[in-house]
Amino acid sequence: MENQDKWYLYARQQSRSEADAQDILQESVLAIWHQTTSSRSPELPHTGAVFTAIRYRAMNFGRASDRRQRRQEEYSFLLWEQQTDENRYGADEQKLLLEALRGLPEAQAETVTLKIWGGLTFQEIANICDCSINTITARYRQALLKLQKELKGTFSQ
Amino acid sequence: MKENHANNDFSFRELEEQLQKLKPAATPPELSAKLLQVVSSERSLYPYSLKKLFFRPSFIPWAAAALLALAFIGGHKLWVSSPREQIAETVSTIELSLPSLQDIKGQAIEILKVSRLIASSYANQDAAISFFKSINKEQFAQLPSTKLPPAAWGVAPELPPLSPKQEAALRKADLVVEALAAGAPTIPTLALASTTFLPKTKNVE
Repeated sequence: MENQDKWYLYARQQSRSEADAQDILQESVLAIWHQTTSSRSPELPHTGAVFTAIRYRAMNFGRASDRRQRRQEEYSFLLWEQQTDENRYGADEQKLLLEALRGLPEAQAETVTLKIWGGLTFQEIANICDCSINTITARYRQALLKLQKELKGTFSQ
Repeated sequence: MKENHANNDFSFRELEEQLQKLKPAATPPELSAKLLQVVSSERSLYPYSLKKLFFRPSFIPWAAAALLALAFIGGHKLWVSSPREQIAETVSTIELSLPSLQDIKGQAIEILKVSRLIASSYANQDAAISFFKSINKEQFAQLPSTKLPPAAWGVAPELPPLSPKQEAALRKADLVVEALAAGAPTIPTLALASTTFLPKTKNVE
């Protein structure tokens, strides 16, 4: 279950509350595992299948009225990796980065989440979001451009 | 993906590296335990559980085929273990399709008469035997119309009564007819048997 943290992050992003996220993730994993073990050639489920199930169930749970409030909370689930010598940035940069992430449109934030923390390819993300790979790459590029703009002067080479 | 942007002081790669340093918070322990339970319970059902094995959708056709096979075998065993009267009735039905022994005897006697008539045209028994050995079943069937004149064929049923020796030979021929009922010897073989009651020399009767 090494992927559960990224699944939970995505479920948290797609749902209205932490309780919803937990229900969605549990149901998604149950459905995917059941489907996999019922198939002719059982294999461990691809992590993209779980992301797809999470997205489908989150739609059923209803993502609506308090979306804005939810988005203020979702990236609070991101923590800095433990500081190392290679990590030149500290708490201030973390705060700025999280603020920039919160400012992303939902579709771009979803793409960044699946790409960066989900570890998926653009094609896999396109399959999950049911759109073309060009749309996904465009969203990702626009998201990074926006982050660059928000973080100008924060990170330097 | 274009990694560098002219208006910014760091690249996409640098930004991605910074984003990747943000790690998702750990899943709540209670949720993690539930997920582990889900996965382990599903795995435990496969592949050792017979219930899971037979209720998997991919096994439904195989299960149906297996049930049909079992039903067929069961039906076959029921038929085999059915009352003997039923079997005897079936066997008797098969026997009815075969010619009776009397029919075969009648045909054989006719063949013997024809063979005797044919053999009588030869100088001795050895010559008749050699002739019968040289022909096959189809040729033998054509003999009455080719070998003998129609007048001779017509008088064959009116041949004089057989002598005691010839009667004994015919009884031997009956044994051949019995064998015909069991294994059906060829007609030339039967004709050879008919030569046993022919005189060793030219028939002068």
